[in-house]
Order: sequence, then structure tokens, then C-alpha cells
Amino acid sequence: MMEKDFEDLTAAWLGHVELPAERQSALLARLRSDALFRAEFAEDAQMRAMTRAIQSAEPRWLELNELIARPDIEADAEFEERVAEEWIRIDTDRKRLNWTRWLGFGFAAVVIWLGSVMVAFQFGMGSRPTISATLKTPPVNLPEDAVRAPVAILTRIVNGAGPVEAGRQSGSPLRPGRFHLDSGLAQLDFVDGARLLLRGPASLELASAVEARLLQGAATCSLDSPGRGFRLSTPGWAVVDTSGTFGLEVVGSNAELHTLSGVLTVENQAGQRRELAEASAVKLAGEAFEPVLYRPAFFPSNGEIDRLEREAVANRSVDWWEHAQSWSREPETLLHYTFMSDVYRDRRVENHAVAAAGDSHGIVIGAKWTEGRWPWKKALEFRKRTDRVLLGLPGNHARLTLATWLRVDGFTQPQYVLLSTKQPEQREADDSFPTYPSSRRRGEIRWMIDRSGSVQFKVATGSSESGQDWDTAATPRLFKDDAIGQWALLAVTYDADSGAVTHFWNGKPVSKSVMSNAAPLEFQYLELGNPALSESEHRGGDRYGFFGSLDELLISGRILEDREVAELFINGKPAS
Amino acid sequence: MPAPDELDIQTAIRKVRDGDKEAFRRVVKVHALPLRAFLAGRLYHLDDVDDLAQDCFITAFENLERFRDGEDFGAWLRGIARNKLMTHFRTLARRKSAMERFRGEIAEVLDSDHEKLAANLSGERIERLLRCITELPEKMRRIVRAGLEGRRAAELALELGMSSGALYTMNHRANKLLRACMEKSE
Repeated sequence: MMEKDFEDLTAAWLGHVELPAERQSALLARLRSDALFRAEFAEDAQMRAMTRAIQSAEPRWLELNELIARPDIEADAEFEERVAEEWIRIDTDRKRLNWTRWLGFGFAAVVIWLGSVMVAFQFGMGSRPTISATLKTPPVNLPEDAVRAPVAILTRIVNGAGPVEAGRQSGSPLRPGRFHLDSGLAQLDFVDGARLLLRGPASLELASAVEARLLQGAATCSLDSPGRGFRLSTPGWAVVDTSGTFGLEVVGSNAELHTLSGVLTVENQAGQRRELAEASAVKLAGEAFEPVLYRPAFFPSNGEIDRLEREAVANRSVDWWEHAQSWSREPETLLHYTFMSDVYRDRRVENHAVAAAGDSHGIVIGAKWTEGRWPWKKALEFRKRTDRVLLGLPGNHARLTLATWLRVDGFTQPQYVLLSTKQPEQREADDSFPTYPSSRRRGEIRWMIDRSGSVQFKVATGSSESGQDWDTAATPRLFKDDAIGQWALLAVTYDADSGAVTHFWNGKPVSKSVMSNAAPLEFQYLELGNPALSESEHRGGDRYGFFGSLDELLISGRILEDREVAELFINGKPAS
Repeated sequence: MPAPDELDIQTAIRKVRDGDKEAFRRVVKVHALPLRAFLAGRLYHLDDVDDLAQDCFITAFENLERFRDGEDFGAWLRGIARNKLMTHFRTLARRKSAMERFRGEIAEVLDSDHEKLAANLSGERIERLLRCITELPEKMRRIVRAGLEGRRAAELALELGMSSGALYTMNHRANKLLRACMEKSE
């Protein structure tokens, strides 16, 4: 029989059971302390991984294939045949995947799914698509990763400010360098397991995943596993080993070290080591190592950051809701999805705009509800290439502002479409194959992000000439590495009379341009999230897929002023 | 003395640097299985494994000038994979359930053991697994063939009339036999 710990760990690793927190802690402790047990479990997991890898179909790496430039990996055909021969020797009741067959199934599934979408739309019901897309991750953030990998994550920052941290949110990766915190509290989790709670004003030098230097301020440091070698230094001294938690305060060239739990080892520049017992404190100045009054309550704690975070979230979210309601009441607001009450309706998104015309409530197809900018608020999560929200917004618009809070969780496709005009022909397609028109009608829109992180607003010109389908206003790269996984406010204003387009990023204008062929925007229906593709896009192998979440969408029939967009950001940004 | 595959890889890398991008296919061919196996040991969904594996190869291809001749290409590739995994876990961190976080912690604790095991992996060695699987006793072969991911384990336990604990035990024994078979074949 298998040992109980091994069995529970296997079941948990395979996702077959939910274990209570105490049991999880006990198993993790066993894994950390029992090298034989750990090695045996690692071997077991690795063998399962190898059998999965060898028995699964060879992946079709289209992105890589395109990069290396030939249409098919011929060299791999020989390898596939070899694996297939071996496979036949196994008494299989489940044949190895055959790509031609799967393409056939895929094609049939697309037809069935599109049919169901059209039926659902016509009857005002959402239906969950049953096919999924393979997501490919392009290498947008690679050179930086390769050169300067993050050494820590800014897990939480509450009421924090500082020149370096401007625009940073919880979850931002931190690379080697100086970290300033003017005020508030920040929690930094180092890759190698150390956790620092920092109270501003503070200045910290991040050297690596296992080393940092506190230059000013107060910090509490704890390690998730004793003796992992994390080193926190001060002027003249360094805490080199700990089995617990300690507080460190640096003022000028003086430092105070307090052992909050466990035992510490500190080392001076000459390499001499001293030990410090639990619940004791010393002053470290030059060579001095003098006892001082023990003040554990002075140092930041998890409880303090939890409390500040709760207060900040409560205050910020109430502020946001008040402002959101004023936007909903404005007569020019055509559409305002706040996602506040919609979760109770499951597949329907309510338009909170008081002056809303027609049926502008959205129908959710595939996208799922997830946590929004506040813990109690919902957002819509888009994962599959078929996830979208269909919404009706009939009308002709000479001026328009679009604004949305979104979080991009990774670039898995070359293009992410946020909002686009839905072509009416798509809903009238015959049932043999949904043949959408390739040409775009003048005034159709597409608001999207491309793989490089640039945001684009496109208006269809109505021209049939190749390459002239869209008039495009693009920004420089906005979605850099650190913006992945963070909430951001995107907005764009469009004036058909002048052709002026202004893009905004987190409340600030980042790009202004003029479209030469501007046209009034005209649409019946829009698609939020991943659009259905036209026939030529299907044929051309175009790939779209928004991999992220949307929390709030505002469409106004007027051009919002810079000041108003800035207010949208200030009043809507997450608390931490 | 580098292994023949490793010499082959060094030659392929030189060719890629000289402008023959197609030569990178050789690198992919040799390292695809070990890399996928390495990632599969840390990730639950096979789709994620294949997406990240492709991503790693693209990174390697685009940063090939950073690779120093004579170094272990597999180790370099696994370094890229670790960065990708970290970004992947960071991206998912906020949405993770308690159990997913727990699995992430297990993966972290196992990291150095996995790295040691992965250092000895080659595509050729993993391919030997196919033959070894054919040599397993029938019941074990069915379990290894089906895999224990997701709901398959419960279905399989029902089919074979076994408890889930007995299923894990048999899979564990099968894994030991497979390891012994792979070592014997060397």
C-alpha cells in the first residue's frame, strides 16, 4: 500500500481532492524536510509527465514554424512516423491523433458552434461555446526577461507612492535596482522565498532573488523556509541567516535589529558573526552591537497591511461607484456596463446608462465571471477564441468616446480585439458554412491591441481595394512587460468631422492622430471581446484572441475632455 | 566529451547564426520532448505545456546570440522555461484557487529535484519509454496509457474496479518499472 502522505499528495497534485489548509501545510512541511520522500514524489511526478508528453500528439507549433520560415516541419514527419510505428505496437483502443481527422472535427465544431451562436442571438439567449482554441504565446517580453529577470514581486502596495512606483500595482515584477516607497506599506515576495514588508518612507536596493539592502526605513523580513540563504544588509552589517522573522530599521548610518521570532545570525564587514535570540533587539552602528529596547509593535505586520488594504478597498470602491452612477445618468452616455448586478443574471450584461436606447443589454457567450478591480466586484474573463459579448447599439455616431478597464493576462495571439462592429450578414449566413463578407462597410470599427502592445482604433473605409480596408490610429507600445496582469484604463475618442483620434492610457493622452478618410460610425451590433472572423480572415489564417478580463465599459456619444478621462482613471483605479 | 546530439546541436546553432534559420528545426527535434516533459512536470494542463514549450523555443531562437558555445543547450533552454513558468504562475496567481496555489507551492519545493532529473533527460531516452510501456503488465499499461489527469482517474478506477488509492499505487509501481526499464535499455 502507498503511504498516506504520498497518496494524499498525489491526489492533490492531480487535482482529484481538495485538502484543508492544515493538511496542505503538513504535506508541504514533509516535502521540505524529508529528502527521500521528496525525491520519490518528484520521480513519480516526472515519470507521469514524461508518459504524458510522449503519448500526446506532437504539437503543431505554427508560431515557431512561421518564425523559422518554412510552411511545414518536414523534418518532424519522420519523427512522427517513428513514434506512430511504436504507438501501433501498443494495443491501442485509442488511435493516435490524426491531424486531418481533427481538422475535420474542428471544422464541423466551428459550423455547429456558429449555428448555435446565431440561434442564441436571435432568441436573446447566450450559449456556451463547446470548442476551444489553442493559445500560442508570442515572445513580446523576452529580451528583458532574458537579461534581467524579476527577482521579486510587489505583492501588495497600500497607500503607497513614490517616483519609481508611479503606475505600479500589486503583482508588478521587480527587477534588480532601487525601490522607493514614499508612504504606506508594501509587501515584496522574493523569488527565493523571502518576504519583506516595507513601511514608507523607505528605500531598498534589490540585488538578486536572495539579497537586498535596506538603505532607509523600516522592514519586517520573514523566510518561508529556514536557512535558504537570503541576505538583508544594512550599513556595516548583514542578516545572513534566520529561522524566523525579524524587524530592521535604518536611519542614516544607524540600524536597529529586532528578532520577532526564531534566532538570527548577523555578520559584520569583517565576516564576524553574532547570534541574536528571540524577542531581543540591538543597535548596529559601525562595529557597535549594543542591546536596545525591544519594540516589536513598531515593525510592519501582515495584520497592518491587511487592515490598510481593506480600508483602502472600501474607500476606493465606494468612490468609484458614486462616480460610475454619475456617468450612467449623463444623457450622452450610450452604454455603461458596470458589471455590478449582472452576475445574478448570469448570461446578461445590463446597460446602466439611463438614456440607453434599444436593446443594448449584452449577451455573454462563453466569457466567464471573475473577480474585478475590487474583491466584491465582478469582471468578464475572456479565454477562448470564441468568448465574447454581443450587444446592440443601433445608431449613427459622429463623435464617440470608448473607455474600458481591462487586464491583459498574456499575449497568446497576434491580435486582441476589444470591441468591433458585428456584421449583420453573419447572422444571415446559410447553415452549410457561415460565409461572412470580406469587405467592411464604411463606418465599422475595430478597437484592438496588437502583439507589440500597441493599441489601435480602426474605422472601415468601405474601399474594396486591397490594403485600404481600414483607416488606423495606433499608439506606441503601451502594454509592456509590467502591464501584463495589471488593471489598466484604455480610452479613445473619435471625431468623424475632423478625423481626430486620441488614445488614452491610464487617464493620460498618449497618442493623437487624424484619419484622412474619417466617416461617421454606424452600427447595429457590436462584439465585445473576440469577434467572429470574416471569410477572408478565415482563409488568411488570421488569429485573434483576447486573453484577459474586462471590468466596466463606457461608450459616450460625445468627446470626453482630457480632464474627464483623467477622472475616470483616478476614480476607478484599484486600491492596491 | 559532448554527446553526439550535443555536437549536432552546436553545429545547428552555428548554422542558425550564419543565417540558416531552418537549422533550428534540428534543435527543436532534439529538445522538444525533454522540454515538454520538463514543463509537464510543473503544469497541470497539457495545452499550457505545449504553448509554453513553443514560447521557449521562440525565445531561444530569438536570443540565440546569448547562448555561449560549448554550454549545455538543454540547461539553457530549461532556464528560459523557468522564466516562462514564473511569468505564467505570476499571471495566474491572482485567480488561483487555494488548491492551485498549493500545487504551485509543491512545484516550487520540487524544483531542484526536478532539475536534477531533467538534466539526465534526452529525447532518445524518453522515446525509449514507448517501448517500455509495451512491456508493462496489462493493468499497469492501461493506467499509464490512460493517464490519471482530471476525471480520467475516476473513470479508470470504475472500469478496473479499483479504489483511487489502489490506482495511485499501481501507477506509482508502473512508474518505477518504467524507470528501471529505461535505465536497463541504456
